Amino acid sequence: MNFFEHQDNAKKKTLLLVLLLIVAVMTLIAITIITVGIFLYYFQAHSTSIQAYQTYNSSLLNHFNQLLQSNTLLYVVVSVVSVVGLGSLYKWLKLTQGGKYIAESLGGQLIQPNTQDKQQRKVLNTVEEMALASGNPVPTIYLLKDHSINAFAAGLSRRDAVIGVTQGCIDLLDRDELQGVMAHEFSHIHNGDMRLNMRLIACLHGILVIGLIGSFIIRGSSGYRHSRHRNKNRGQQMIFGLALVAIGYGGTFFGNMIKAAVSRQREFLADASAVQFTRNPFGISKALQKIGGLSHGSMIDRANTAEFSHLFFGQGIQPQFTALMSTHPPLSARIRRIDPRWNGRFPNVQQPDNTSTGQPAEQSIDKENKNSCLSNVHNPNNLSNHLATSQLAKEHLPNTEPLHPILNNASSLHYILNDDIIERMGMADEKGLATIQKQLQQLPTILIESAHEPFSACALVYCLLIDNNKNIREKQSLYLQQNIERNISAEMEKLRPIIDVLSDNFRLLLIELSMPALKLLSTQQHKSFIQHLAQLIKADKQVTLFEWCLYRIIRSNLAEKHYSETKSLKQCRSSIEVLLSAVVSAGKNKKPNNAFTAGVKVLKISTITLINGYSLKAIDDAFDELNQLKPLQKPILLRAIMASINTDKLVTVQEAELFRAIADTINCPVPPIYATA
Amino acid sequence: MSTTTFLFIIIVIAAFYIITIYNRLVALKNRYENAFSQIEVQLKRRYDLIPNLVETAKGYLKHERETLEAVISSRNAAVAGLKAAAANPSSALAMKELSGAEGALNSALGNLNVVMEAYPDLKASNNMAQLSEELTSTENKVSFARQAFNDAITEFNTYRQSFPPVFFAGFFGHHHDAELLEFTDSVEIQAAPKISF
Repeated sequence: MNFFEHQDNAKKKTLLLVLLLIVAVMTLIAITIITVGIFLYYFQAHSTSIQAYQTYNSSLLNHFNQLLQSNTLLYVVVSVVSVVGLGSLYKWLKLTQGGKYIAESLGGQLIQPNTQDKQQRKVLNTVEEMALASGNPVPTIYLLKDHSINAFAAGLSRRDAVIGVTQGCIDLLDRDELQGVMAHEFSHIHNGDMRLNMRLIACLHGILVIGLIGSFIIRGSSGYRHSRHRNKNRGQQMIFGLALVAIGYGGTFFGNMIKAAVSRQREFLADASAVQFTRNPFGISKALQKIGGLSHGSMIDRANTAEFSHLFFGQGIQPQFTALMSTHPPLSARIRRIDPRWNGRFPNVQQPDNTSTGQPAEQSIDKENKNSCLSNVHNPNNLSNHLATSQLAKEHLPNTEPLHPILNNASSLHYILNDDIIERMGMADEKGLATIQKQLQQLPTILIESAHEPFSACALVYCLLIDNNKNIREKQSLYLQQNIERNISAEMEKLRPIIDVLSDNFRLLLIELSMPALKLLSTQQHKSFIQHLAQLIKADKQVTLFEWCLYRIIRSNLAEKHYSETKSLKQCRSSIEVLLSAVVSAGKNKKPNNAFTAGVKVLKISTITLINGYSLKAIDDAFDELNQLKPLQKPILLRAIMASINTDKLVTVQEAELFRAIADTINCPVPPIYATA
Repeated sequence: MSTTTFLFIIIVIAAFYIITIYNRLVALKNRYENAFSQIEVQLKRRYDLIPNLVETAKGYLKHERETLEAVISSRNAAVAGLKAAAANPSSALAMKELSGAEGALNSALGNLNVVMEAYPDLKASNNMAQLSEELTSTENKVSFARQAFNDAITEFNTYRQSFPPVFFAGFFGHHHDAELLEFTDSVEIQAAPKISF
């Protein structure tokens, strides 16, 4: 299954989930009616003598019959539905804050993207490679203080996804193992599990609320110790409360069983995808073995772990009824599926001593650095390295050896746009990882470091949007001089000489790399940043498609709008017309009509025609609408765009990157596109 | 609708609202704490640079031991101040101490800069030029991170003081406004290394 099929599948699963919830709520209503019935039969009976007489004379069954015809039924239905509905809605509203809400409620600490801590750098680098290789923006990373080995991915979409890792994960896993764990987390993003998981949390919370109200009533009823005459009332209240608790927690119990069943299935799938991505079963299987060998295992010591238990890499809490309630399959089963030759023994894993924290682990990094070609780029820790980065850019260029591919002459390469890209979408495979590692290595250190700092990341992104055309450039620098703070423009001066010679295939990469740093901007900084970006792009009065895509990617990464994916290609006809025309005109094809019809052929929509020139608003609206395409309709549109670009048999780096940017803008993660010389 | 049902609905809505206030306060506090750890990263880097700066200057400034020692001691005070503030970013006292220590460090660095004017060799040295360039750039990053922190603090304080959260903030443990972080001398010192280019 490819990315789109997975997304579609996850959407269908969500429907199933909603059905299950409806069944659960109906069951709850039924149970509540029975409880209320019994309650009324035995207690309420005594309130008036006539009722008491009636009740006394009728059987319990008769009583229920009466109850079902009375208003009480309506009340019960309305109150159960509204309580569950409100509870779920409340949680859902919380969850729309994105992954960071979950990370923070689990007590996670944000790892700063420019941290100097070697261990934390190791995690950041692994995540960065994985994200870029799968075509996703780099997620923010949170640290949980636990000494067990565990990790999670949470968020509503790939853009606001965060990844959490435990301290134990950082201390005890080597780079390969860490990569395996991260590949597992990224496959949750790829398979569309995150949103599914978030919905599960919200649904379960709604059911739990009934139980919470019950325990609230019990606590309230045991409060009136002093008033003797309310004794009877108290007893009734108490029993009513207990009944609610039973209903609520009963509901939660079954809800958790559903959650666990869904989760176990998704975990196997994520393990399998992780292996498929990295082609390295040993990383993830060794990580799982270490969990088995560690005394803390993968336990997360937090009051609300249970609520989020299905988000984790390993079992986060001790389940009550192991087989039914485990959110994760047993470790040995997971390991055997990945690595059938495993001998069944868990290694003995020792917690690193507190006094010498990081000592042994640091050695392992050094070792790992030799293997990883990223080490020198990605470890700006020692001072000499650090100082080197701050040298002026001009000094940087001539003597940095592997620089030639970053220069503009990369445009002599031909890129391959075919269905393979659709199949690889959202996946960080071996080749993609290697490509990204190489690209990161080719990038001058100063650019990578700038992307990690909130301050210089702003300058970096401004630089990336400076046009090559001299006239436009003048207008842009005029705007910058008047509106941007002095020290940011000083920083831009430093970066510009490098950016000027940078090949186009690094622009999107640098933007995705800057995301965690840009997410640290304060509300005000963010507002003015976005404003300046828009002005820079609009400076030339005619916006290029690529720039506008970059702008939209940045904007939606910082404040994501959520689109419901329900529209078909036919419904979006006019938007497709605008986009395809824009693609054709950006390609500067000699026969624009041919390029356009090539696209139309794939789409099988005959009613659209090539339009010359488009307004900014038109293209923006088009993107808004195309974001709402159904998951299985998006690849058709992407194929049409590819066909249109492919008509002149020559895909330049600009065209390849334009394709990636368009796909990213409509929320399709394109991994790096490969070239032939 | 009976009065009880009506009351029940009111209570539920009120409870939801109060929970929202609590959550928002926590989220805003988290945000400024995250913003502070960004300042921490930058300040740490700055404090790591200063011993190198002093080490480089030492060779030239044989007769200015006092100035150099003042830089080192104020740097150490600032490191301690940062540690205290990082442990508790909501403490007004720790914030004030940190900004005091930063002020002292900046004036010590200012003195060093004045002294260095008399040593053209030192200024011309490649190492020194790199260090002051690095110091300036770190300074810029500190000030940007500080701006983000102060924005986050202001957002927290404004929300805390607004109606109705003002009634509940104390109950949820947010008794005081969080303190802004102001560094007095930063503009001067920022300009100083610039002149040497």
